[in-house]
Amino acid sequence: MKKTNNLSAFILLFPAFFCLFLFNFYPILRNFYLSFTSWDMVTGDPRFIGLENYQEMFESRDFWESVVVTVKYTVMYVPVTMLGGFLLAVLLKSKSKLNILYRTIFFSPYVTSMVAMSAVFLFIYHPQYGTLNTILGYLGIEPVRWLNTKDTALPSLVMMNCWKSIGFCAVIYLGTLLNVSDDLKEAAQIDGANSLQTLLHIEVPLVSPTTFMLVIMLTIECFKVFTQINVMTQGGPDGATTNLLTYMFSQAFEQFRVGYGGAVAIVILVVVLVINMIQMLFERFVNYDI
Amino acid sequence: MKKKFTWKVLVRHLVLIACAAVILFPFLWMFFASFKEESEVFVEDFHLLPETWRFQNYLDAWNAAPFGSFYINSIKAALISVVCQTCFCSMAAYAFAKIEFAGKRLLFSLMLAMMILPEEAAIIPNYLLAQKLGLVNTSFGIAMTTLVSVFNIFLLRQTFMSIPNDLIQSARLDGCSMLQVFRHVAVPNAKGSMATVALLSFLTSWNNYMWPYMVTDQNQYRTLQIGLKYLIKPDAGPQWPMIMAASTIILLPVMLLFVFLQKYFVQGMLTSGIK
Repeated sequence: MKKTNNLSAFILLFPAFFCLFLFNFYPILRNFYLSFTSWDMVTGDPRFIGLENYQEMFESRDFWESVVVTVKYTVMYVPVTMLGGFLLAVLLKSKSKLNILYRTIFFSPYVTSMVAMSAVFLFIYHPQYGTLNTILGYLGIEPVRWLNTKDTALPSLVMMNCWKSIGFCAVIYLGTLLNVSDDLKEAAQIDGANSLQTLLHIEVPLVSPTTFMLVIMLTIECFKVFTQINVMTQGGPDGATTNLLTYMFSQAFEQFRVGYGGAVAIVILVVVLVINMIQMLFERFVNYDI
Repeated sequence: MKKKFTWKVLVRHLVLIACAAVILFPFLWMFFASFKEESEVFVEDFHLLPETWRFQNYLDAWNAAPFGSFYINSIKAALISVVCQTCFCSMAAYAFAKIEFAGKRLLFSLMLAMMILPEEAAIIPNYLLAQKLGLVNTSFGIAMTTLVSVFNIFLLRQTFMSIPNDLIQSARLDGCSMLQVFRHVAVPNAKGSMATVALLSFLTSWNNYMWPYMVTDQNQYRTLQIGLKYLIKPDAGPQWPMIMAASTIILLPVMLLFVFLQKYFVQGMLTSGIK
């Protein structure tokens, strides 16, 4: 009996684990090895050079700039998206037919192709004819060269990403808010709390596990931003939008420095793992039993 | 409960409508600009609607690049991904949900660990692997990084666990093997989640960018996303309406799927959040 179970489990598990191992796990191990080598992808074999790639990387100005860009991106993107998503969820919190329509609309950017949306936003941000500058012009604001200056390029990309993800956050928050019973809120209202007070003292604390989970999710997402940058700015102007992933890509596939690119990839891996660790460690502290 | 008109409700709806307008604006702009004359796009005033509807832009877009083969390549890669995801993930999910076997806990934690590994850290070796296996510029090569996702296994495992054990036991007593139970009892009882997995896999594959961008280097093998990327030149003046038409062509299938099947989308996304 037991033997047959093992066999059928093996048959059922084999394809999934084979794919996961071959295309997810093994490449990451190989990436570790590659990061200790020097190779241009074409001639000969990877040559072992020890920690040289890491040493060069930690001394490189470009690398640290890409770290700063990634951190800046995260610092702008996560709070705006969370706050926007939460406020939308609070507004959406009554069950009506119209709210389902709103929800569909808010969620729609999340499923659309980033390349197509990058094309649209390239035009919205166009310095001369772009819609954003036209509208700002009506308000008497001077045109801004959104994607073309060092100071505004990154915030412009972040703004577009917020546009994409706010609805997603709102839907996740809504799921939690709808599960929260109204008793506490009513009790607070009977005690004379106004809407803002109930929002701050009842709803915000009650959704804190969701908030925590979203912070982790969105932060990790920031380390995976590639499409918009590749289509809209190619990391420019002057490196102002080159995040870690774009830096890795250009080193490995444009400069053909596989080993060095691998070392940058390891940095991404370690950071994402550390963020996940933080989640596992702190998860138990942010749970509220209702 | 009776609904009463209050100022609060009115303000709430005004704010929501304003937000919806901001969210929808890029889509509307794309759609209407795709019918405009070039001279209409490059004006310093703001007009959403085109003055004349120029359908020629769509033909121009279709002819500017081999969009026919982009479409076929995208669909091929998506099909491979959807078939593998639904088959392989449901199989593994069933084993974890309903079968006792040696080393189950170990394999399960191994899989948990794999879920948090970012695929970006695997992308360079994956490219080298694709090169060695001759998968560069093939549909399987484009799909190879999206064949199985741990998240989908979790989602399906959750569903399979809710199938009553009695149902499985009685099928076993009727003489079904474990694998037959999976095929004839478990899968038919998990249709909703299977649909969600299929849909999410399709979406991921359709919108996938970085990997297909790397693993294709000739136009006839590229997917829609990559094809569009090569059409867009940030300073390409006169081609904007054509590019908007191409963007609309790419978005249309996904938008239609989303509007009609949004129940499954939102369900899947919510589970992804709650885990």
